[in-house]
Amino acid sequence: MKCKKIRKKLVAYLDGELSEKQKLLIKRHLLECAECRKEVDLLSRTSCLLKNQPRIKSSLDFDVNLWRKINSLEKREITPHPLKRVAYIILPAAVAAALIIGVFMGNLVEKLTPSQNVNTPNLEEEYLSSIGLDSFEDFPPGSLPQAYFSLTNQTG
Amino acid sequence: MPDPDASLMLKFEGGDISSFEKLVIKYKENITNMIYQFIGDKEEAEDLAIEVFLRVYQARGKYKPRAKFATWLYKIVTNLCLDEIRKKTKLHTISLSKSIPIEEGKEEELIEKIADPSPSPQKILEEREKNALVREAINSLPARQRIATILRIYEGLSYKEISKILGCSVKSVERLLYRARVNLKEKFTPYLDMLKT
Repeated sequence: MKCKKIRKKLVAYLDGELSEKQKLLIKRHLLECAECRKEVDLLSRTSCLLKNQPRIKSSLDFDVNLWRKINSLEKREITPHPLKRVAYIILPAAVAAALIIGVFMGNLVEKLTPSQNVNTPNLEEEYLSSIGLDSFEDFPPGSLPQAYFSLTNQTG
Repeated sequence: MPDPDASLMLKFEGGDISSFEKLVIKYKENITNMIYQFIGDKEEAEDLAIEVFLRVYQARGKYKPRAKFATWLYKIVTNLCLDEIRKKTKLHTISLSKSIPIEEGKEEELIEKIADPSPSPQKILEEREKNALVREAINSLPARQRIATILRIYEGLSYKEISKILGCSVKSVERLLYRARVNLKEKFTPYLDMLKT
């Protein structure tokens, strides 16, 4: 039982991680117990075998490769993602398209719904005639916008 | 006593790139070797070491010197190694039954060594075989036992420092290292006699 407990401490003993009191206890036990002495010897040689593993040297390109990665990382942070760049173009175009569609739809709805103020006096017309602009035409006769508006007025 | 590496990191935080370069010079060999002991592949180890320094570079704005810089750095390495091992379903092992692999371009080196009367070709082959056995044994350890052993044996860290890196108690580190060393001892038994002399 004592050996079992001692053995669990042998690696920490070899690694110099025990208190002075624990170290002394193990040293005394090792003087008396041949089996534990053998075990500590094997563990010690295991550590030596591990420590003797060859070390590798980092390549000469290490720093170059590191800085190349750092530079590309910083570029990525400054330059927006390709999807973001697409979004910068698509978003304003979509807003403009929505506005145009909205204006056309509004125009169409206005033309299709029957006017509710047929009998009410047209305030706008009254106002225009009061300032002498009742004969003003928005577009010159025969122009393309004038043709378009006369067409939409007919459908209305 | 203030940690000089933490001071370098704080200077780097303030915009001094040369401080970062000093840290890279100081730690690149150790970090590459530590990862190599864990992964077992030189090129992969170097790529991961670069990734470690990239993370240090990115963390410059968030760095708080709560612990020693080295402890913080080894924690990054440990997490990266453990992530890497999780990604790999099959561990990279070297079979001793296969012929000992010779790296590309190393044939001439081996022939030169063989031509050289000391050490003998037999000795070179024994050495390679022994190194392959150690690599295989380290690779066969469970991930936490492996990383604890590497931090202790190759980086010389104390149990307390390892406990901070692994986020566990000193007692747990003691148990991990004990189990790891016993596992390795059993695998090394045929070779341990060679070290008697």
